[in-house]
Amino acid sequence: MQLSKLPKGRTGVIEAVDVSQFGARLLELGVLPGKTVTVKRVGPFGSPLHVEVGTKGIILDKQTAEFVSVKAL
Amino acid sequence: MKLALVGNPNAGKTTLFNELTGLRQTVGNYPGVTVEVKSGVLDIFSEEHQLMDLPGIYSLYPNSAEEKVTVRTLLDKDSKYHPEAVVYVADLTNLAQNLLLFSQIIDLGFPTILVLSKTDVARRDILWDAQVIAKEYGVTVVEKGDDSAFAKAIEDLGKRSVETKASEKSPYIPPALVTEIVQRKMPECTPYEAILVAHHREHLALDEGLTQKLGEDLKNASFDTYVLQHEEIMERYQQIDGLCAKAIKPKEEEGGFTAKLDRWLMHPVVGSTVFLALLFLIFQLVFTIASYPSDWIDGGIGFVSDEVGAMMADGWFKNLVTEGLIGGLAGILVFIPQIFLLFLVISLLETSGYMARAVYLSDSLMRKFGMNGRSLLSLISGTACAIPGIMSARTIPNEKERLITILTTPFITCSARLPIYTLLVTLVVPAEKLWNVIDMRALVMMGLYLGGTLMALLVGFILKFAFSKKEGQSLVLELPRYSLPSLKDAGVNAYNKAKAFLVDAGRVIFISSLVIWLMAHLGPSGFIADPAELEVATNAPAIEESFVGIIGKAIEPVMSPLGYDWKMSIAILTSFSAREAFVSTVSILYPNETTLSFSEYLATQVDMAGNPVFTLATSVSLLVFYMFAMQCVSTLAIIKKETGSWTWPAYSFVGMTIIAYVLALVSYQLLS
Repeated sequence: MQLSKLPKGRTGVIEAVDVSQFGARLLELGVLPGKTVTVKRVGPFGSPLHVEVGTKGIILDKQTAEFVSVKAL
Repeated sequence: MKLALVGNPNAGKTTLFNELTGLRQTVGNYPGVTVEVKSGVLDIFSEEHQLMDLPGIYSLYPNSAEEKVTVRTLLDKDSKYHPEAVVYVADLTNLAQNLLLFSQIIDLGFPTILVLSKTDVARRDILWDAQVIAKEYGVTVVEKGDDSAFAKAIEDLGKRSVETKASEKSPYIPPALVTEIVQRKMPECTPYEAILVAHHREHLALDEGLTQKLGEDLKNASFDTYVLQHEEIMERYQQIDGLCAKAIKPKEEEGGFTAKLDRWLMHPVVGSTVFLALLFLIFQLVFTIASYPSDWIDGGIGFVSDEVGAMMADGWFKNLVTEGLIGGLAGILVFIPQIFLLFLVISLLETSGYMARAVYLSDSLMRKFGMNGRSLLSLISGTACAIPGIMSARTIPNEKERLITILTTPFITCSARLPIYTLLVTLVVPAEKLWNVIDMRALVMMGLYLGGTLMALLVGFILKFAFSKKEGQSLVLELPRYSLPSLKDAGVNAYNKAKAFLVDAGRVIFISSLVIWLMAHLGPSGFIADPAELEVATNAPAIEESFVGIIGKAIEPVMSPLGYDWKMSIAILTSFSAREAFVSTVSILYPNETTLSFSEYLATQVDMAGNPVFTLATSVSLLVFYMFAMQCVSTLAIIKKETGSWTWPAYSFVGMTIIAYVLALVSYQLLS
């Protein structure tokens, strides 16, 4: 499923990141296949998402979160 | 030796740069783009080195204009900023991510030392072994603050000849299919340089034919820049993750303090309230506190002008010096306190880690209007003055959002509009209270603020669609841990911003306000004495005879549908140097020698047919005009500085003037 669909508070394992400019930026920040990701909170109007990859906090908007496929744990 | 500080954004580069160079730094603009490259002098064992602070990047695959400058500087050996060696700053609390770019820099073959920053924050959470990192990359690793080790490392760098033995141990082997295509044309390239040329060929200063030929060859080899970037990043991270597992041992659960604070500061209600309170505080700071130093500057300039005037003989030359030259200078200096204070606060918010939270809270709202969470800060500071607001848009990474922020900020009611609003509102709105509570004048004032804000949002909304061809919007931001900001770094940053304003925009503002002054004092008959002095003697405002007066009369037919006579047209022209000049010009053209207040006096004025001049319709039309018109040469100068060309200031001027003209026309015609 897409990371944008992962409910608040849930954790998943990153399966893939779409090949694109924004995908590359996500990889640079350590959003890598195989890592766990937790949706910590969701902003007003459903975007942006505050996620934690490992111990690191990242903010990304909903559209960009669609680039990341995860498997919910 | 030419050294460059390289590292991720927020890695602590600027703090290190300020510590190493003190205030011996100069801020230059990278040619062709409005990106600052700071340069300073570094003293090591009484040998001077040039140290440059390049904009922070995450990898050699840049997104924003700022990031592109860093990459270009590192790749282009002919650039005057191209370094001989690199001082790489890595944030220990976020080491894996910081080593990604580091491993790319090593592969480029620069002699490099690695400085580990934020050691005191890291000490709380992790144990680390710098030697493991040093061995893996074969570089000297220094912890920030260890001055003697740093000095020795720099000295050793100087002794090392530029060696390009790189990439023996590199985790990334570029595909030969691609590197050979580039190396065939550019045989001096190493394989890693070749792959970067393939990615960035259009941004490097290559020969046009060569760029095109490379593009064709690469296309035939089905070169896909993003596929290769993904491969490279993942391969590098594999090595880095292994290294970090060896070099770093976590002590306990990380980030306890940050998580607790974020529960409140990122809370939809509490967090937003805190954010709004902060914005209010910033507004107060820029608006109220800055007015004290601005007043001192005003007073100081007045004193200098009087002193200089006393030494000179009366005449046009004295007026030119005391009013034109010194007055023009005053018009620039009064902005300095606002700019300094705003950037002081922005730096503090940025380095404390709060800015990312502010973006999180406001992003989805601002995005509806084509802007970014950070744009809110520009718009709010625009209530004091558009200039610091537009300058602060520089921190918006997305070009489209930044441009929209720059173009909408001048619609926000700035403090220079207040004197005009006050005069006209007192003129036409009775000092009555609605239902005995609400002050009518205050209500109208609020409406004027609201009108400007709504127009800013509307224009943002329209531009969002007009610019839809520009790169798409995406928000990806690190959420840094909170840390105590350094007042010194913030001060240096604010100082640099104020200086850049003074030097770059100041020149344009100075020249144009001088030109406007000259046009108001020169006419076909030569120099015209100060209108204020002359009118007492002859009782006929002399500004009428000047070029401004002639133009004002010439444009009267254009302005009369808005309800303005030639005197108001002149005031609109002179207020182009600064909006508040409208009031002073009107007071020259309608000399009040009665005991009435100026607005009461204006209400009594009639034209030759005996009709009142400042009617409700005319006054409302003027208010509407000043609400939306780009009547500020300083703002145009800063837009030029920030966008790098006269195109955007021209659009801004024409667009705002048309909006103002049409709406003023409609309101006058409806009311008269």
